Amino acid sequence: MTQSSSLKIVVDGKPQSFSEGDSLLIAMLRNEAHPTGGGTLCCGGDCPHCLATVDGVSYVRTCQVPAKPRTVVERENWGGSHPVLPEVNQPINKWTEARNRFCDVVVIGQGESGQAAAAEAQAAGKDVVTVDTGNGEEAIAIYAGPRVVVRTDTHMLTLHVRDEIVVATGAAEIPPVAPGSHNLMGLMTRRAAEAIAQAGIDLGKVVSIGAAPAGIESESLSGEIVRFDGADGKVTAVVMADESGTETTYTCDTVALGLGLHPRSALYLMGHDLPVRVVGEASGETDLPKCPTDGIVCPCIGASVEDLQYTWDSGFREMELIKRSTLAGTGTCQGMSCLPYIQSFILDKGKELQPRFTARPMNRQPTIGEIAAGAHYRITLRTALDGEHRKLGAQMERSGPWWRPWTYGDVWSEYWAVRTGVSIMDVSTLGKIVIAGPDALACLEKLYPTKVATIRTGRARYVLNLDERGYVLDDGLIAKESDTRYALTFTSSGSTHSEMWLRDWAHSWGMDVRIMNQTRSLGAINVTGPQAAELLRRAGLEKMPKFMRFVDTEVAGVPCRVYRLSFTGEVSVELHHHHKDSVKLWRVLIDMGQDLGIRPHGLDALTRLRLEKGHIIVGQDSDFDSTARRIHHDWAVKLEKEAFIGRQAVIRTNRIELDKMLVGFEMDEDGAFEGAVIWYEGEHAGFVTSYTWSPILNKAVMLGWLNYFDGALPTEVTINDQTARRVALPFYDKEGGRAKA
Amino acid sequence: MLKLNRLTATRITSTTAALESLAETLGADTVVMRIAPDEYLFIPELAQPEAILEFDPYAIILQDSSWFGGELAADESADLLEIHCEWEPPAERPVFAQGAVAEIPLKMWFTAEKTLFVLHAPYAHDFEERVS
Amino acid sequence: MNEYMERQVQLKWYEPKKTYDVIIIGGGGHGLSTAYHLATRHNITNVAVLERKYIGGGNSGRNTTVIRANYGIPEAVRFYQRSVDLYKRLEEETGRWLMHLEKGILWIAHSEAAVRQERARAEVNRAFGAKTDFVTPEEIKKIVPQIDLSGGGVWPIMGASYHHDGATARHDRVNWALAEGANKRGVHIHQRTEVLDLIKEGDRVIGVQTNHGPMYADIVMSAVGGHVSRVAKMAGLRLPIRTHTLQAYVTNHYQQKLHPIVASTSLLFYVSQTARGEMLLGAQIDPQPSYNYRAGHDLIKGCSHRAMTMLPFLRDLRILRQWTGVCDMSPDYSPIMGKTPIPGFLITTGWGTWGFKAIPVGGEQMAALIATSETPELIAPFALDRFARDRTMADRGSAGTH
Repeated sequence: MTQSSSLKIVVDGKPQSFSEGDSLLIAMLRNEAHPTGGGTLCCGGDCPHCLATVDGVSYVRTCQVPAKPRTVVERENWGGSHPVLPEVNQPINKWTEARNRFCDVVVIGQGESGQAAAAEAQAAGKDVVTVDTGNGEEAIAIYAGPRVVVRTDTHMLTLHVRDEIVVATGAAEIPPVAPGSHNLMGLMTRRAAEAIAQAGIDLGKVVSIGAAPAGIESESLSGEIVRFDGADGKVTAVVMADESGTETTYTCDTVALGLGLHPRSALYLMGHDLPVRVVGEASGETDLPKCPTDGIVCPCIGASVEDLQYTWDSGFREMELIKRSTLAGTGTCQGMSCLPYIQSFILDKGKELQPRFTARPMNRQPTIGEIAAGAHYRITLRTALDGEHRKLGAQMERSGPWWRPWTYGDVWSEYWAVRTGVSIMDVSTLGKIVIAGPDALACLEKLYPTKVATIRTGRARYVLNLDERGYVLDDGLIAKESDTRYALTFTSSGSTHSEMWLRDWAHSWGMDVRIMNQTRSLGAINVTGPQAAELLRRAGLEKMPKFMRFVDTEVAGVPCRVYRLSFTGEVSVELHHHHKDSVKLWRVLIDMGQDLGIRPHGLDALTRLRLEKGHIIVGQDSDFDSTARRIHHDWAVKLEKEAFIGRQAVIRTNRIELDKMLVGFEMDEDGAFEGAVIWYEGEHAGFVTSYTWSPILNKAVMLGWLNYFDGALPTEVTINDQTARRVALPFYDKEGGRAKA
Repeated sequence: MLKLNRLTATRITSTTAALESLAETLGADTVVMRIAPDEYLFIPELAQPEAILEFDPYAIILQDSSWFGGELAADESADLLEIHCEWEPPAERPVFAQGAVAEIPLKMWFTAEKTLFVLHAPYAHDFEERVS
Repeated sequence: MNEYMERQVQLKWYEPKKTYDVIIIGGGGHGLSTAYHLATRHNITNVAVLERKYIGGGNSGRNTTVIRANYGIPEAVRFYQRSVDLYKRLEEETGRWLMHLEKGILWIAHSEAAVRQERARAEVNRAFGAKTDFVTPEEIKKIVPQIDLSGGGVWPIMGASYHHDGATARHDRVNWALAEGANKRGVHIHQRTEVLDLIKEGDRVIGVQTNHGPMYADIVMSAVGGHVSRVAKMAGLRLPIRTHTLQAYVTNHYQQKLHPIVASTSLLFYVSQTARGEMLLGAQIDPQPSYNYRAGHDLIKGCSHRAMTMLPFLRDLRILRQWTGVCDMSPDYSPIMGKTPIPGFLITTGWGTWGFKAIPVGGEQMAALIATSETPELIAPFALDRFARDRTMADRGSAGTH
């Protein structure tokens, strides 16, 4: 074996040479450094004795990681305190790449049985992927799919399996449990001894217990282990007892332990109801060792046989309870070291052989950064005008599924533009669904609580969507295009859910309708304010449609569906148009409105403007349990109709005495906020759902839930230590003349 | 690298039978994406989409400018999908497939030489960012 | 080294009897707590707790051990604050170390709407006895120095509610201390005892049929988690419950450094460091109803990604183990406790993702109901009949959280 002086890793700050093909563990042993000071090494990725911090990541099994130049290893004093939390400030710079591979068969482990399984599947014409720790590939977990998640040297790999996963991970060797400390250098399993010797490391005088290592000269000892003796952290002798109890001390430099096998079946077990097969040693039975009366059973946690006994005597007599009370098996090796001894311990108590701990991911431990490879945030959608808003310096807000402008910098200028001049708002986010077909009317009639048949062509109506329990799900408009075709709108947050709602019912009723969700295909701009009509006239709209009607025409050369409605309380139209025309329409309107003082408004201004008009926002002012009458919308629910979703529930709940209502309050001074608690005569009376100071009314206005007291709603309450008066809605323009002007 | 541009497209909601009848009348230069049993996307946009009305008078037609798309050579697209696609794309060519790629709903038209990636405009910005 | 081993609790096992005063189905936190409070507060000890597997082996031993009262409606704030207070005294009362740690919990807001929601939470909490303040990003940084206020440049932090009483305790130890407390006063706990059916006389439930034979009692209470709908069906009752899975995971052990519990409702994750030094992470319930305990890839992948956004140091921590619990969700995200239309049959369910934090108060109140036959005021709002009476306990601010 050649040892190149140029190959160096850094261990505890000191450069150390290694040889081509070394694992980090072998490289350290070459320099007489045991990663954790001592303990029975397994070289198989099973035990916790070779753990170290590698390039800043703690709990790395150094026997499984190939040594590479400049790898930085920090040894941990196992048995002492835990590693410190790493200092990481930039999550992105160590981003792991994720890859996917689709195949028929995955074979995990490339020992004899793994190779045979792979060859057999290949011969049968299968597309086979093999995973082997020898190639730096560690199978992390098996998940539903089925999927096998693998950490490779360079990336995270998800294997998507069509036919079968074969687990051929072999077996771990059972570590020794003996009284006293055995955190000594020179203790190793039989296979570890073979691997270490093969790397050219001198093991000195070797004694073997149980099966002897191949290719190494060793003295084979018989009897039971009494204890290991050591000096300066190294094993110096092992004391054995024969059947008569006579003890003999054998001096040595290395103890090779062939105490039997414990199948590495965790991957198989975690895939219990998936097409996973286990072969070879991994499918075998554990060679249950004799559990001594003293000694450390779980090296990760430090649980001893005495602890097992104590727990047993305390009444904890189930495998899982013993695990949970002693914490044995909850450390890094997840029971690979201790489980055979605990099974043996329980068996000795006269109980049946208990199954292993429940196998769950992880089989090998990925970092949080590694397992996150390939993940993304839930996407926030961008309207066609997103770039325009950002150019104008808008503060963007994630609102429902969309990015929306919260304010362009000065909410009150935006507010006054609406109240006294003209303003525009991007309302492309509104849910927009077209329904057509011979049963379109019948379908809507069964869905909505309004009399859809009385909506005339060219007109629109405000509607509620109710669920089967009669609670308000969403609100919007129905616009009639023809006897067999309607355009529906929904709130910005409600469109996806509303589409499902619509389709589910249409389908289950067997309605002959076509449904197209156009939410993301069409842009929409709201033009509002006393000067809106003037701006639109300049843009080519000679005649404004009447209130709650719509026309299809061109505005600023852009084909638009023009809806006349109002949420702000001022004259208002919504221009629905093709996605590609949004930017053009937006810019033309801003250009043409310069001398009218135009400025766009964001959500912050809008929610204040609509509040002055007493309009609710479903989901903000309403709650899970909002029936139409609780939010003063019983006028929108026509119980005389034969059927609509929620009708029976509404009829039933209408017979129950009301407990609370959503009502309007006003207050002379500013100072409340959304969520402020409402008090009445010292008792809790409700809470505020929407609040604003109203400059035009020179008072604070709000919506809130108010409880009934002795069958009546209080007229004066206390909010934020001020007196607030319950008042009829709306607060602003009570006659409603402004929107219809 | 994938560069997305606005496409012209026609989206029609109708019965499967009517949509299939319309698709049969189209030449090979129109990509037909069967995005749902009742909804097909035609790229580029159809000159005479109202032809569907012969088969279904209630069909909803939208000359839909909200789709963005871009093409990659077959090997580049395979590489992109290996990283970003957690489901197995079909092996036939030409073939249409749709599903989440980089956790974004994507429609793909695979031919022997190249792949056309199509998605809705509200996703375009993030998709470019995620796959670049 | 093994300082966290349980060395105090002594459990006793009895042979099953034919009749008891009270039979509690389910040896999880709520069943054990009810038995404990029956024994300690009402001197009712002729009680059996029946457990299908081993005690605390269901959700009581699978949860993420958060204790808090920062709910969105007065009824819930009062109820959970009572539990927070009982938890503070539980170590002293039971004489057992429960690893109860007061940590404080931050619910981070990343949008204007979320800022308003967290302000509202602080307001309603303070009004009804829970200690919660709204805190600015600068204050957050002082509470959690490791936090990246820019949210990875993608989810900037705009504020948070800080619930001072947020705490954790070791779930197993809570279960065991309550079990021991009940059992040393004479309560029987029968593990590996599965209820196969309810025994009825007319409308009334008078006992249970188990794999160890029938047992009879004046009162049968279901404190079952997960399969509660099946037990209710045995009684002839249909519950408005859907069962969803909830996943969580822990890392290896590290030195103590992350003090508070950090949660984000927009990024849908929460993280805390256990007394033993593991980092414990979780997210929201899985959207599809299921009883399957299998842990999933997508959850751990997405949750890890989101958590790193705010706490970058998490990136290099190695994950030890991932698991799943099942959550019984009611339509209004509040528990369902108390009497049912079936005489002799009580329930405590709908514990969704907040069962652990309610263990002391849930048991205390159900025990009071059993002892007095009167529904205590604190749990009256959570009665099953609230759905028929149109008096649901809508708590939007707490929907789907841990």
